[in-house]
Amino acid sequence: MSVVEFENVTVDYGATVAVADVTLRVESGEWVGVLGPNGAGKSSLLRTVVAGPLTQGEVRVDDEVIHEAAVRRRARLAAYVPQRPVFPKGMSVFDYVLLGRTSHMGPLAAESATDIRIVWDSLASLDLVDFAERDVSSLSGGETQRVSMARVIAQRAPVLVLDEATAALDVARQHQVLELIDEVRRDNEITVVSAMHDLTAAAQFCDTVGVMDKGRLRGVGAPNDVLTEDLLREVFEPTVRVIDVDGSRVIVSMRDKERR
Amino acid sequence: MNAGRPASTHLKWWWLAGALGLLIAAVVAAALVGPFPLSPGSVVRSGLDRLPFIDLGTGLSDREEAILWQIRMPRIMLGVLVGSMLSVAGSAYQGVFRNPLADPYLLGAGAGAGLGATLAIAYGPETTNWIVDPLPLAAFVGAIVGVLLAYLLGYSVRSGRTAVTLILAGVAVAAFLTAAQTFIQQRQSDTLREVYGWILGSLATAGWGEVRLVLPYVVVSIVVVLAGRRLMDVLAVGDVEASTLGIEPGKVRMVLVAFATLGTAAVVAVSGLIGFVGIIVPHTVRLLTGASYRIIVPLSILLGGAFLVLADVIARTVQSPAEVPIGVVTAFVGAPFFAVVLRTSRGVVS
Repeated sequence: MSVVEFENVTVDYGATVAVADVTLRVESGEWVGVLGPNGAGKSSLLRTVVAGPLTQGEVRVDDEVIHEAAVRRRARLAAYVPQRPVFPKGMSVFDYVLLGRTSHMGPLAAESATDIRIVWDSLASLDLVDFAERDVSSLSGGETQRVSMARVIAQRAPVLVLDEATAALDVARQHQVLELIDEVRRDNEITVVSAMHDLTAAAQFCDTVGVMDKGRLRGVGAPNDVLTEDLLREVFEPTVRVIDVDGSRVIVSMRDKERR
Repeated sequence: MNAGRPASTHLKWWWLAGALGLLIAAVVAAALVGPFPLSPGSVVRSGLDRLPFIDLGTGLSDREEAILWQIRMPRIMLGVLVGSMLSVAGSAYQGVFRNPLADPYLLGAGAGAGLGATLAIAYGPETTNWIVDPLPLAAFVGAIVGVLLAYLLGYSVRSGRTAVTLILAGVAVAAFLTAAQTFIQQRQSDTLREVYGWILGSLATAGWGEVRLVLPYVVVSIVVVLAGRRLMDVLAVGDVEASTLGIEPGKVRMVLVAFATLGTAAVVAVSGLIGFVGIIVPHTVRLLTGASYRIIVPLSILLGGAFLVLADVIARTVQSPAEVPIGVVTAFVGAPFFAVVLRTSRGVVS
């Protein structure tokens, strides 16, 4: 388990400032959801944990400064799943999950028996053993999510950075994937930092949420404290309503009554 | 629990054995074919006789020995080296650029070598009495300079040093160098035929000199690409993901391109611009065995050599005693073969 610290993180692409002076501490084993409208800077903030562009400030995993660490070391500290992962045509599921072991092999070495065993274990933990020889580009949406998570598990990094892993899924499938991430997190004692669009799901799955707007962090804390109508209306739009269901926040955007 | 890799993701020994068998068969067949017939039994015996600790006696006359070992074998071995090198370089370029259309000449190695050779032929001094022929050197330097220019141009692009900017830089450099080469070629019309012949490629040799010359480059280059074949599989997920998995895509790409280019420049220097091998061989392997470079690279080495040796047999026999440029044969025979593989394969195109 590992602590992730963002300290005065600024990402400036020249024309636009994507992230402006964000300071945030993610505790060990915690799931932090980064929320906010499109273009708020969520992805840019997340990318800094895996040595993406950084203009100012520092990102640390267990006191190790990410942008100063060697590339293999970084891969052992944090695993990353982008919004749209690349699933190369013709690559077997086994070989794809084996990619997660890259940072554990010598630069020119082949995989060891341990790497092979870890890949089989990762596949087994997600019920993917029968898929080992399948073409990774031929799988369904839900299957590819599991394959992604298998690669993350094989990488054995204590931190997982997820950039909107569920963006393309229907409501039930999304719920399943989030449960899967939570399971993987608990079983492997992983700290999760994820960008999310679905505020209601974030309220249920995240220990802590951070709301971003125009590159700035507008609020951080427990979902029920942060996801208030006042803040969300300011950041998203005035039509946002927050409803309490069984002690959890449900966030919807309601159409104006007169226009219905 | 499963112990090893799943069966279908292995480089199977019978593929390797089959490819090696094909290479040996191509070499033996090429040794037999020519204007002066040699008997298969004595050729094989003569070959085995040259191995250490084996003394069979060859049964060939001195003249036949000379034809086999001073005329045919150097040319065949050059074919093996050139074919293997171009195929391996092609697979390396396709891997690091994630582009099925990439070939060893993509970044300007071909155009640069062409310009260097044209300059040497058109403006070079009379060299018949020289110990060292400046033509291969000019082609070698031209190929390296072409790729260096592409890299410098690609890296000066401010918006991003990606594989795509590098390819575009290579296209620009290649177009420019080809334009310069064509301009010189047209101005010096008395050397036009010689330049044209060089560009289309030939494995004609004057003995073992060319083989000795390119062997070290080819060996070093192939060893490096072989060592990097697993990293090419990592590059398949794109630069961003690859870097989060623990490799530096830019560095991997630069090292593999550098060594693939070094070997390509060496073989181009002695054999001219033989086309199509660098695309067709790795692709055929990919269609038959899947997309992993762990498998594509080693099989491309063996099959590339076999393919070019067989192409050269056709090149030197169909119009004997004249020769068809080998580049014509690789395309003329290779394209239909490739089309058949493409149509019948259930493998992966890109």
